[in-house]
Amino acid sequence: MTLLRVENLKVHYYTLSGIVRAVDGVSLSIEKGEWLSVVGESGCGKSTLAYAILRLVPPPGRIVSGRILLDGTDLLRLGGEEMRRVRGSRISMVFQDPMTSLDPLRKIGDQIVEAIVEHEELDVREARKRAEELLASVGLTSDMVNRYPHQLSGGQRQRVTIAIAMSLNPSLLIADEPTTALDVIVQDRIMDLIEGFKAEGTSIMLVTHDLALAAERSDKIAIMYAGKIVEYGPVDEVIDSPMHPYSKALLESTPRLRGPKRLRYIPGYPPDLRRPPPGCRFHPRCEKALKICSQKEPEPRYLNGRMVACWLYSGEVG
Amino acid sequence: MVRLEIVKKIYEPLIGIFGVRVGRGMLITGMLIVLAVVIMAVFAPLIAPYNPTISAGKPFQPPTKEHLFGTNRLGQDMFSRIVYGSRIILLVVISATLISMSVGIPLGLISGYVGGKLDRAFSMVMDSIYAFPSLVLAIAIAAMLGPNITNTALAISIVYIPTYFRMIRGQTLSLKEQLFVEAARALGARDREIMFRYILPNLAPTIVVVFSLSVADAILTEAGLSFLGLSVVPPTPDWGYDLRVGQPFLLNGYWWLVFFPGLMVMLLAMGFAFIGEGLGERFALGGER
Ligand SMILES: Nc1ncnc2c1ncn2[C@@H]1O[C@H](COP(=O)(O)OP(=O)(O)O)[C@@H](O)[C@H]1O
Ligand SMILES: [Mg+2]
Repeated sequence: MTLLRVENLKVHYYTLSGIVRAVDGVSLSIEKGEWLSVVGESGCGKSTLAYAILRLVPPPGRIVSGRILLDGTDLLRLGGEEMRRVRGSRISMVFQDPMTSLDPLRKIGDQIVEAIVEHEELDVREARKRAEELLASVGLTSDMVNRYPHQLSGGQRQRVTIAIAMSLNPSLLIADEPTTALDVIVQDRIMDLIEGFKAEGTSIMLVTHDLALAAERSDKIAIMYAGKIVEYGPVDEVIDSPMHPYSKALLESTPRLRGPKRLRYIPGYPPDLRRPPPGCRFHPRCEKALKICSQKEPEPRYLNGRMVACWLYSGEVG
Repeated sequence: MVRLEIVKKIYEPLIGIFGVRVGRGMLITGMLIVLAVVIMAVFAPLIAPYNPTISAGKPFQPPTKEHLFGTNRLGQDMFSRIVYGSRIILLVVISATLISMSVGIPLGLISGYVGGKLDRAFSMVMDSIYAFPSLVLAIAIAAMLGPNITNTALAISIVYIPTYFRMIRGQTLSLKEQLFVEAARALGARDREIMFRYILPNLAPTIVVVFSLSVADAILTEAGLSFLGLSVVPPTPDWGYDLRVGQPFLLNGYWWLVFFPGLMVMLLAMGFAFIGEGLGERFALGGER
C-alpha cells in the first residue's frame, strides 16, 4: 500500500537575485514499510524536498504547486494545527548535524519527554519511562536521560535524535544526510538502527549524496538532478543497469560501487537553479546529448516500476 | 547606550595589557560595588546616623567625624542622605528595567520569530524610539507625565524597551535558524512553545548582560532626570536631586555637596556596567550590545 505519494511538487525560493527552482516537478511514492533513498549532488534540492513534505520550507521558499498525499490525504490542504499534528506523529525527520539538532540547554530525557507530551496525553512519569525505553531501542543506556547534549559523542547524539524522531511511532521517517557528519563505522551503526525501524514497519526516506550508502539498504532509489527526479526504480535495477546518463555517471564516480574499475568524475557543474538550462537540465554535462536534449524537456517514461526522464529512451521505453 | 562607551574606553586598553583576566576582575569589582550599594539600601536605617530628611546640625559643614560627608544647606547629614538615596535610585532603576524587560523581551521574541509585516512594524516603532538620545526621551516623557517616582520609572522603562527588543530580536533571528529549533518544529512543537521553551532559555546569557548594561545606563538617566527636577519631590533623599541642589554652592567651595552624590552615581553605574561587560566577556557575546 502506498503511504506517501508526491505529485508534481514544485518548491521555489523567491530570492532577490531570482527564483530558485529547487524542487521543480517532483513525483515519487513510498510504500508502507519501504525504504526510498533520494540521491543527488549537493544543491540539487534534496533537503528542500524533505522539508516540503513536512511543510517546513523556510522562507523565502514556498511550495508552489503539487500534491503531497499521506494515506490519501493531501497535506498541502491541511490547516496549520492539523499539519502540526502530522509532524512527529505521522512523519518525522532526522537532520544532518547531530551536534546542533538538540537543544544545548536541556537534558536528553527532558527533550524526549517534551516530544512525547507534545502529542499525547501522558503524564510525565509515564513519558519518562517511555524515554528510557526509547533510548534502549536506539542502543543507549537509560542513564543518558540525565545527560546534556554536549556530554555525548556525535554518534550518540544522532541516536538520541532518532529516538526522539521515533518516539511517536511515525509511519514515515525522513532522514536528511543523517550520517554525513559521522565517521564510517558510526555511520553503519546508525544505518543498522534505521533498518531496524524499517523492519518494524516504518517507511524510510533517506536523503543522501552518497550513492553507495543508498545502494546498501534501500528498496528503491530516486536519482535527483537540479530539482528533478531523473531516474527512479528498485535499487538493484538502478544500480545494476542505470538508464539515465546522469545515474551512470554518478555510479561511475562512486568508488565503493565501481570496485577496481577506473573512477570517472562528472565534468562541469550542476546548473544554477535560478537559470536552469533549457531542455534536459543535464544536457550541458551529458556525453550522449542529442539535439533535442537542449530544446525540449524529456517527459518521464515509466516501465515495470522504473522511471527515467531522458530523450535516449523516448522510443524504447514506455 | 552611548554613554557606556566611557566604560569601554576604560577597560579595552586594560584587556590589551592584562588579557582576558580583566573580564573576571571587572565582574568581581562590579559585583562588590553593587553588593555594597544594595547592602546600604537594605540596611539604611542601621547605617545612616541621622534622619536624612531633617536637620542634623549646622548647615554647610565640611566632612567631619560627626558628618562624614558634611551637611547641606538645610543642615541635613549628607552621608545619611546618600545612604537612603541608594534606596530610591535602586528602586526606580530596577523596577524600570524590569518593566522594559517584560515588554521588550516578548516583543523582540515574537517579532524576530514571526517575521514578515509584524516584524517590520514592530521594528519601525522600536527604531524610532531608539533613535532618540535616551536622556532626551526620558526628559520628554517624564515632563509629560509629571514628577514623581512612578512616572520616573515609567519614563525610564519606555526608553530602554528598544534596547531589549533589538537585542532579543536579533538573537531570535539567528536562533530560529538553528537546527534544534527546526527539529522541534519537525516534531510538531507549537510556535508558542518554540519561542518560550526553546529560544528564550537560550537567550538567558544575553538577557543578563543587557540587563546589567541597561541598569547602568538607566542609573545615569535617573540621576539626570532628578538633577533636572523631574523625579522625586523633596525632601526625599535622592542622589541626582542632591547633585542639583548642591551644584550652585560649588562656587562657595562646598565641594562635598556634589562630590559624594556624583561619585555614588558614577560608582553604581560603573558597578553594573562592569558586571555586564565582565559577563559579556565570559559568555563571549559578540556584536551589538
Ligand atoms: N533558504 C534558501 N534561500 C534561497 N535558496 C535556497 C535556500 N535553501 C536552499 N536554497 C537553494 O535551493 C537549492 C537546493 O538546496 P537544498 O535543498 O539544500 O539542496 P541539497 O539538500 O540537495 O543540497 C540550492 O540551489 C540552494 O542554493
Ligand atoms: Mg541538503
